[in-house]
Amino acid sequence: MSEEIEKKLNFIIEAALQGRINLEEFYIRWPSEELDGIEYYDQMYAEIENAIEHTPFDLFSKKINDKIWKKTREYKTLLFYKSIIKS
Amino acid sequence: MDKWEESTNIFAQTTYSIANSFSIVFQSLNPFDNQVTTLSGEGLNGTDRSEYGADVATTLIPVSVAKGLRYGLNFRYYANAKGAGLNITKNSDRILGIDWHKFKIGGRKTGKIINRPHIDIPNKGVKHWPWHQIDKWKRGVD
Repeated sequence: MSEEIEKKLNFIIEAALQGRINLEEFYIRWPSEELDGIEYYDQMYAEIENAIEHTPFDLFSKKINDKIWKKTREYKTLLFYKSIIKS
Repeated sequence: MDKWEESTNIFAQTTYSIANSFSIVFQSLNPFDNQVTTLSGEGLNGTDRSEYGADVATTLIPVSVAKGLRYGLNFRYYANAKGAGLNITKNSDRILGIDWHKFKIGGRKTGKIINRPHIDIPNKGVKHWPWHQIDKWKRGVD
């Protein structure tokens, strides 16, 4: 994986962990040309998409609900991918 | 008593209050519904509806925070997908979600983003049911 792709993935995963990326931005930022069709990255795409869709926010303050979010499978999956890309 | 919202019966008052709050919160979250009203038809557009959200939260939260209870019923707001869901959870993980939010349908490159109610069962690999299944069937994809 090139350094550029690694940077893109790191940005997306870090933003998803913090609830700073919405679905539309994810679809734009995902490096489709380089990664589409590679099974491992197709799985990563689906998992990140799922995590962004289901990141819990507080209905009234509109801030991420960290207390719930950090206990979810989606959050832990993002952490796993972050560690894999870094290594 | 012919009007639920005017009943003096404590049980009727409580059930009306809960049902009314759920109705208002779901209307508020529905992007296609511009006319938010109480169950008795009173218009609420342009008013502060946070008290109704608090009612919903206080109804649902005790189910999930009771000590030692692994299963819960939770309402979650998904700001990054412009929607929300009612979930049955186990240790904070969703095991069944009745959701209404944005998602992509029709393939990664040629697909479009839609916002529809759907069902997710993560452990069974069921996602955005029935829309993905219908779309794949229409496109002849497995």
